[in-house]
Amino acid sequence: MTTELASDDVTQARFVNVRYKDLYKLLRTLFHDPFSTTAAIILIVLVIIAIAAPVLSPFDPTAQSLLRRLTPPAWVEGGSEANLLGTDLLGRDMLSRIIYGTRMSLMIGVVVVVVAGIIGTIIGMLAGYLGGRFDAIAMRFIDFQTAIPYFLLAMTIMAAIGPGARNLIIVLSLGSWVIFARLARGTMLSIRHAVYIEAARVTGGSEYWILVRHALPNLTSTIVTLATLELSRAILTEAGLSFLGLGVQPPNSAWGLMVAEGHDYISTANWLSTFPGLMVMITTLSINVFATWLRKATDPVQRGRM
Amino acid sequence: MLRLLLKRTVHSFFLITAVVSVVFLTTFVIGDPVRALLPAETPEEIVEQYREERGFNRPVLIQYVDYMSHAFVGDFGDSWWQRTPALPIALRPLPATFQLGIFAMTLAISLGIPIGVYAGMKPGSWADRLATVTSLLGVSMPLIWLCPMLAFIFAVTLGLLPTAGYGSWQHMVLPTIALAALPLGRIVQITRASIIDELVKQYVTTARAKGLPNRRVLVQHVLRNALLPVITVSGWEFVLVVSGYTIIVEAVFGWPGVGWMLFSAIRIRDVPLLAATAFVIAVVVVVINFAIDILYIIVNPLIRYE
Repeated sequence: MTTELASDDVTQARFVNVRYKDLYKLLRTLFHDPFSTTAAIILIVLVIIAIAAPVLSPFDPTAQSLLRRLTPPAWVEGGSEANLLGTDLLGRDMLSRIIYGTRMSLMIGVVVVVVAGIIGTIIGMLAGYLGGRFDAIAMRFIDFQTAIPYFLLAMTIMAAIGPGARNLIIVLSLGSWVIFARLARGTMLSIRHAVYIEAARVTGGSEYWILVRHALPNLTSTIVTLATLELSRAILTEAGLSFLGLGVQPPNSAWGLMVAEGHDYISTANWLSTFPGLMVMITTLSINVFATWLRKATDPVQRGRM
Repeated sequence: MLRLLLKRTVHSFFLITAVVSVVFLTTFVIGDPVRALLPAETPEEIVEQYREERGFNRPVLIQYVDYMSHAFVGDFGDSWWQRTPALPIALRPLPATFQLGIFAMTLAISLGIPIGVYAGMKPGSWADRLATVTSLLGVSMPLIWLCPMLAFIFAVTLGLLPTAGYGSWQHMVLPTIALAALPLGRIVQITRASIIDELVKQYVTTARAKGLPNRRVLVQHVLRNALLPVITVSGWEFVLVVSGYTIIVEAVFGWPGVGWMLFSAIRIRDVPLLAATAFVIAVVVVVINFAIDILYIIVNPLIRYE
């Protein structure tokens, strides 16, 4: 009996290992699909831009030059080579501001997803594994929060605690962790009574060991896919709040803030809001295309169809 | 069924209480309503005097009970801006938002379902590609970019429609399109997936085997089942439209709805009006959810006969 269970356990361990070795295979399927490849390349470029912002941006994004204010992009009449994407109301270089905006938006998005993902996954796993009162309380909370209109609350909270990047991260994480918790709990419930979990327990594995070594690897692929989707949602929400003046504040650069600044000049200087808005669009679109591929690629049922 | 409705009523009541509580907590406890009310350079003794007069120096719990007991009968105090009760002011813009929201949802559903059904029936066809692109664009589209772009193309460049405002039907076109874009993507996605799921079921094979024409199989058998999840998702999207998307759309197009009211209340720091508007939006959300539940019970025999 014991040997039987143990061997089952070993099979599971091997299964997990095989999945990590599949990474190469996974990447090969990525390059077979032109859309996913493009999306992945765009995302890599965006990350590089965000990290190397000080090196890449031609000007200081906050340096004003009223003489050069509202210069159109280089390819439009009246534009100059110096400011490729033109300048804004205060004569700040648009390209530099967009580069720093990339840094800001991606930083906020990634921090939110990491914070919310870790907290949500831990609470969700514990709720699914422990059950009982902890699960009941957590579930009640999660149900409630998912039912409350989130953008409305985010606006109210931001108005009360004041705008800024740090507060944005807090509010966006508060809105996002429940989604991770719900997914982690659901997956946990479905594997709680799986033979390999029982086996790990019978062979004397500690609760911690079971959760980390046996349950977590089975959650990773769904959590990672959810994380990419949540990243796009966080970036969209951040842009929306910054647009309404409740997010990132000047003199910092953020895409949403830049769109708002350019909004009144849409008929005379449309580049002010076109480019930053386009950046949001490209980013979220790439993330969603990538996420679609990731979901198919990591789902064993769908993998065969690719 | 009666029990289900009763349960929903209790749940709705708690949900609205939770929203009002969060607004109270953020604006009166974390934020400082007196500071919001008075100019920044007001001397400390006048601030204290104000605090005393309005009862803001009482213990938080007593303030909370007092606040909730008033809120329970719809009394959120006088708007600091208009100096009349806040709730009627918050209710006034509701028809404008519903007008926009209902038109947008009608547009999204009447376009989304046919595209989704066609795409689901013929995976891999041009219609399916169109559906994939629509749904991807729909979920990635930043409203802060879509709205200015629509205004720029149709109002500034082509001069067909007004850029912003309220009144004639021409004013409604652009906000409606902007609001419909996101639900459209989601509805196409869910309809397509639902049709694909249904088409492989045995009752479809049976219906075809007994010689029913394809059209009849689709209309009488498949659609009836496939549209159930579409109803749920459309309901969720309607909730998102009136409680989230509309805030940005109304802010951009100067549409005097509840979203615009919420945004204005935050901008002019009118705390009672903010609370009343949040309450109105929460009630609307609850009512829509309730309506969807009842609709679902009516169309789904599995629940009806339980």
